[in-house]
Amino acid sequence: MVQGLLVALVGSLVYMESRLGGQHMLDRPIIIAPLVGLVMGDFRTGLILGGQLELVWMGLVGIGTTTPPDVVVGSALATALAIHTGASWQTTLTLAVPIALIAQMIAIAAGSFNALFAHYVDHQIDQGNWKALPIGQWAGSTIMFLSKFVPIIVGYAVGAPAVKAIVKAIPKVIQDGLTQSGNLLPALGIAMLMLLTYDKKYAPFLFLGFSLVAFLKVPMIGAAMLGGIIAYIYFQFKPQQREEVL
Amino acid sequence: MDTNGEKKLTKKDLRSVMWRHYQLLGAFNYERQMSLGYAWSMTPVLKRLYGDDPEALKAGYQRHLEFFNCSTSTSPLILGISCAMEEQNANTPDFDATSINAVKSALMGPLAGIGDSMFWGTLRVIGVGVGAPLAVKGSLLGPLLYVLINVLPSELLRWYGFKLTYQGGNKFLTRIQEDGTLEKLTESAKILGLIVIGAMIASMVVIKVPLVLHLGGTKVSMQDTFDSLMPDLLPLLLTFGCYGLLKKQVNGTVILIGLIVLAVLAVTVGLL
Repeated sequence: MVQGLLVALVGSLVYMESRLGGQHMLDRPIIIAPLVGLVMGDFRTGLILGGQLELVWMGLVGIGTTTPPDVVVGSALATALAIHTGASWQTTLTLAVPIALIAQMIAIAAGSFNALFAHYVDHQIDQGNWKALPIGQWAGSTIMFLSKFVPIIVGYAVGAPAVKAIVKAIPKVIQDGLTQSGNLLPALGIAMLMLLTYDKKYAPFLFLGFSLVAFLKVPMIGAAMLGGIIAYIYFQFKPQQREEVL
Repeated sequence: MDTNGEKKLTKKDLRSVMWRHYQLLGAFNYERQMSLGYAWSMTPVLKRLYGDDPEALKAGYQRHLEFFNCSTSTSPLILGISCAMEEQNANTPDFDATSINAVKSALMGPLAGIGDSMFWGTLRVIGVGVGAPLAVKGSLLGPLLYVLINVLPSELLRWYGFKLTYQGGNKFLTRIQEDGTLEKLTESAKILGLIVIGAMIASMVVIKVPLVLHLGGTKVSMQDTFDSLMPDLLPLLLTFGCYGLLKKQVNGTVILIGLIVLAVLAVTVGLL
C-alpha cells in the first residue's frame, strides 16, 4: 500500500507541473514512468516502459478545451502494475485503459467544479475581500491534484490483485500477440499527432521526413536537424506580405 | 486621483509576475479557463499601482478575472503588455482601461496558435522522437533530452518575451501579427513538426512479417517483397489507416484495442 501511495504521489506531483510549474510538457509517460519505476524499485524498467508508453500516447494531449483519456493516470498505473506483477507493459496498458477513461471523466468533472471558485472569487472581490483570490487559486489547484491522486491510488489497490489473476489466465499466444502490439501501437500515437498538424497542403513535408529515414536511413536527430533547416529556409524565403484575406 | 509622482513597477514586481505565471493553469476551469491564474499573476502589479485606492484595485482585479486562455509558454508576452498598460492606466487620468482587456483578447488567440504549434506540435514531438527511442534502450539520456528540448526554448521565450513586451508594449506583437510574421512562424513550426512525424513513421512503427511462401520450390519472403516495393511500406499504411479512422471520428481508444486484437490475431496465424 505504501508503494501505491508513492506511485500516486509521483504521478500527481508530476501532473502538477502542468498546473503550477508552467506546463513544460513534462506530465508525460517518458517522465512519469521512470519516476514510478524509481519508487517501485526498478528504475530501468520504468525508463524502458516510459519510452514505449510515450510512443503509444504521444498524440494524447489536452489542447484547447478538450480532455483526452488520462495519460498521467494511465501511464503511472500501467508502469506500476507491470513492475509489481511482472506482466508485460502491453498487458498492463490494456488494463490501464479503462481506468484512464474513468480518470478522463474525473478530469472533466474537476475542470467543471473549479468554475465554482471563479464565481466565489468574483463575489468576494466585489465585497473587497482580496484574500479570496489566492484562496480560489489554491483551492482549484488542490482539486486538480486530487483528480489524479485518487484515481491512481484506487486503481493501484484494485488493479494489482486483478492483474496478477488475469496474467495467469492469459494463454501464451495472446501474451505474444500483446507483445507484438507494442510495435504497432506507435502508429496510433503518430496518427493522433497528425490529426492536429497534418493537411494536404503540408503533406510533402511528412513524406520528406518519412523518406529521409526509410530510404536514406537518416537517424532521428538528423531528421530533426534537416527539418529545422528546411523550416528555417521556408520562413526566410516565403514573401513577407500577408495575402489579403476577406 | 493621487498624481504626486509617477507610479512605477519595480523589478521585483515584474519578477513576481513571472514567477506567478507558472501557476496560470492552477485553478483551470471550463468556464473562464485561466482567469484566476491571470488575476493571480497580476496581483503584485495591481497592489503596487492601486494599493492606495480600493475602488481602482477592485476594478483591476475584476479586469483580470475575465476569461483568459492561451498557451502557457506564450502567455508572458501578453502579461508583459498588461503590466505596461496597467502602469499607463495608473498614471494617465483619462486612460481607457477597457483597452487593457481588448489587447489581451486580441492577442491570446494568435499567441495560443503559435505556442501550441511550436511547443506542443513541434518541440514536444522532437523531444519524443529523440528521447523515446533512447529511453526504450534503457538510456537515462532519453528523458533528459526530452526535458531539455521542452524546457529550454520555452523558458527563453517566456523571460525574453516578457521583457520585450513590457518594454515595447504591444507594438512589436501587433507588427509581427499584421505583417504575417506570426503566421509564417506557425507554419514553419508545423513543417518541422511534420518532417519529424514522417521520420517517426519509418523509425518507430515496426512491422516484420515472418511468413515465407513456398511457390513451386522457390521460397518467397513476404517481408522482402514488401521491402522491394518500398521500405517501411506497411508502417506507412498502418499509420495512415489509423489517421483515416480518427478522421472518421472513430474513438482513439477503440483503435488502440483494435490494434491489440489485430496483433494477437496476426501472431496466431503467423503473420507477425
